[in-house]
Amino acid sequence: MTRFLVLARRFGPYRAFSDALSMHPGLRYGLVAVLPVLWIVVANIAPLARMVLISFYESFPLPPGETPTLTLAQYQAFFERPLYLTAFARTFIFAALATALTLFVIFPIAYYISKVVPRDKRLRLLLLAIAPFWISEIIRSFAWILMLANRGAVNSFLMWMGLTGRPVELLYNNISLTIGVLYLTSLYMLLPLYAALEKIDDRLIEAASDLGALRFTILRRIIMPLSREGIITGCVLVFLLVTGLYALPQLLGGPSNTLFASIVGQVFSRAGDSWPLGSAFSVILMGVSLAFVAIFMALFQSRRTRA
Amino acid sequence: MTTTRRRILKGMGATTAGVLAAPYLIRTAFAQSKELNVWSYSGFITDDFKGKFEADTGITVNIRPVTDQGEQFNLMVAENGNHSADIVCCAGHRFYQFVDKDLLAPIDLGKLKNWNRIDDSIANAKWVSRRDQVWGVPIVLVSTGLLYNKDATSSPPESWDVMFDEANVGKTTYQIQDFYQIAMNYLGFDGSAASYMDDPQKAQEAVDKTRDFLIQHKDKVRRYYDAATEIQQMFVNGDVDFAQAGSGPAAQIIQEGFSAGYTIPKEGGLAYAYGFNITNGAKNPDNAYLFLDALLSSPENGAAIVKSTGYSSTIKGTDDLLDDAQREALGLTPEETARLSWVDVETAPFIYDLIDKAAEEIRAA
Repeated sequence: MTRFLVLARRFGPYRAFSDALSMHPGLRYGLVAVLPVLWIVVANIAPLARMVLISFYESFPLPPGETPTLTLAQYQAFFERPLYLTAFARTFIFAALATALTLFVIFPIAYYISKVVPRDKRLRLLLLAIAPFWISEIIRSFAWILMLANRGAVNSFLMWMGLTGRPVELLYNNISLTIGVLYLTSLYMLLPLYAALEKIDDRLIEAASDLGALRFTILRRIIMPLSREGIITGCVLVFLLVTGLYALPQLLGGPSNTLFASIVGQVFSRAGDSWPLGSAFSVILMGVSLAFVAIFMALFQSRRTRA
Repeated sequence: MTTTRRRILKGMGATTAGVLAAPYLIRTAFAQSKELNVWSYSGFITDDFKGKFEADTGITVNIRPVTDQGEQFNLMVAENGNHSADIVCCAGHRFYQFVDKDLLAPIDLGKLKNWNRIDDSIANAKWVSRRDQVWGVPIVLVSTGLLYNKDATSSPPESWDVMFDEANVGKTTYQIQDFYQIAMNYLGFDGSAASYMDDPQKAQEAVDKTRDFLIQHKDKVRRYYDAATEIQQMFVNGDVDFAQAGSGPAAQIIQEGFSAGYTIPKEGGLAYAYGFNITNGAKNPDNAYLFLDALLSSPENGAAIVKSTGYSSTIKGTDDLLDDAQREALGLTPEETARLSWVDVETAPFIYDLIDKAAEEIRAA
C-alpha cells in the first residue's frame, strides 16, 4: 500500500490533491462526509421533498410540458372529511397503546436476558428471541391467521378442551391486530432495551439489595433511570413503526380498526389523479408522528436535565 | 473542410468503435424483437400456452403479475409513456381510466385474424369500445354475485338482505368498490349512475346515503377483502358465511368441494370482462398481436383459462370442452343471468370517482 502511495505521489494532480487535503482539514472532513450526505439526500430527503411538492399540486402526474398548479386543496380535504380524522386519531391512540404494551411485555424479557441469564449464554438467547424476524412480516402474519381463524389452532384447542362450544372470534379485530403488532415490534423494543440494561453495573443492583432496597425500589430507582435511553429509543422506534404500519393491519385487522397508513395506501392505489391527496395525507401523518416524537423526546430531555 | 491526419484518425476511431459495437447493437435489437412483456393476473396465461407460444414463435414471454387495477394504472402512469409492458390486463369496468390517460393503443382488428373467434355477443358489445374504438381483447367474463356457505343457510339466499341481517354479524365480506353499485341498487338508487349524469348532486346524495348505510352495517363485515383469494381463505377458515364475490373464485371454491353456492340475488349483480390491452407506444406491438391472435386461436386455450381461473372464457366453443363439474360451477340459471347488468363504460368514470372516495371513508370510519 505504502509503495502504491509513493508511486502515486509521482503524479502531479494526485500530489496537488494530497497536499491540499493535508493543508485544509475542512476539505478532509468534507471528503469523508460527501458519500453519507449524498446517500441521505438522494435516498431519503429527495423522495420526501418530491412527495411534499406533489402534495401541493392540483393534479399529478402531469402531461409532458404542463406546468403544475399549486393548491392547498389536498390538505383541506383531510379536514373537510371527518371520517379521515377518525382513522387518523385511531392510529395515534393505537400506536401509543401498542408502544406501552410492547414496553410492558418486552422489558422483563430484556431484563431476563441481560441480567439473569449467565453472560456466556446471553447472545444465544438473544439470537433465539430474534429468530422469528428472519422470516418476512407477511409470512408471520399468515402464520397468525392460521392460528387465530375460526378453524385455526387456537379455536380448535379451545373447543377440544370443551372451553367453548363455538369458535371465538379472534381474527380480523383488535385482538389479532394487537398480537400481530406486538409480535412485529418486539424486536425494535428488545434490542435497545437489552443494550441499555446490559450496560448497568451488576454491583449497583447488588449494593442496593444488600442495603435493604426492595425489588420494586431497585427497579424504580436504579434500573429504570439507568435504562432510560433504551426505553426512549425503543418507544420512539415502535411508535413510528406502528403509525406507519400498512401490510399487517391489512392482513390481521378488521373493518373497524383501519389505520391511517392503510387509507393512504388506498388513496395511492386508486387509479386517477390521487397522488397529490395521498402525498398530502402522507405528509400529515409523517409530520404529526414526528411532532409526537419530538414532544416525547423533549419531555425526556428535560427530565434528564433536571436529574 | 480540410482533411487532416487528426480528422482521419478520429473518423477511423469512430468507425472502429461502431464496428466493435455492432454485434451488441444487433443482438439488442434482435432480442427486443423476440421479447414480449405482459402484465397479467394469475392464471390468465397458462404455462402450457406460454410454452407452446414460445416454442412456435421463438418469442420469450415475460409475465409480471397484476393484483390490482389501481396499482397497474399507477405503475403505467409513473413510466410516463415509456412503457415496460407491451400488453396489460385491464378490467372492463376500469379500462376507461387507462384509455382517458392515453396509456393504451386502440386495437387494430385487421391484425387480429382470430377476433371472430370471440363470442359475438361479447365482440360486438357496447362496453368493449370507447370513443368508437376497440381498446382491448376480452378474455374472461366475470359476474359479481353472492357466495354463501350452504351449511349456514337452510335455502339459497334470494336477496342481498343476508349481507345486512342482524343474524350475520361478523359473517360477511365484500370488496367495497365492487359491492358499492350493488348496494346502491339494493337501496333503490341507480348503481350505474346513468340516470344521474345530468344531476351530479343527486348522484353524490345517492353515494353518500349508500356510504352511510354501509357504515351503519359495518358490524356485519368480518373484513373488507382486496384480492379474490382472500374470500376463499376466509370461507375455508370458517370466518365468513356470505360474500360478494366474483364468479371465478366462487367457481373454484365450489369445485374444490367446499359446501358453497353462488347466486345472483334478485336485486341484481354486475358483469364485466377482463381483457388484454396493448400499451400506447408498446415496444413489441407485432409480437403483442401475434400473442393475442394465438390466444384466441383455439377453444382449448379458453378451457385452460377457465380451469386455472374459474372465470368463463370469451372464446367460442370453450363450453364444449368443460366437464360437468366445471359447467355446473360456472352455470347460472337464465333468471340469474337476466339479473346481471353490464358495467356502463360511459357512466363508469362519473360514478367510480364518487365511489372510490366513499370507499376510503367507509374504511376509515
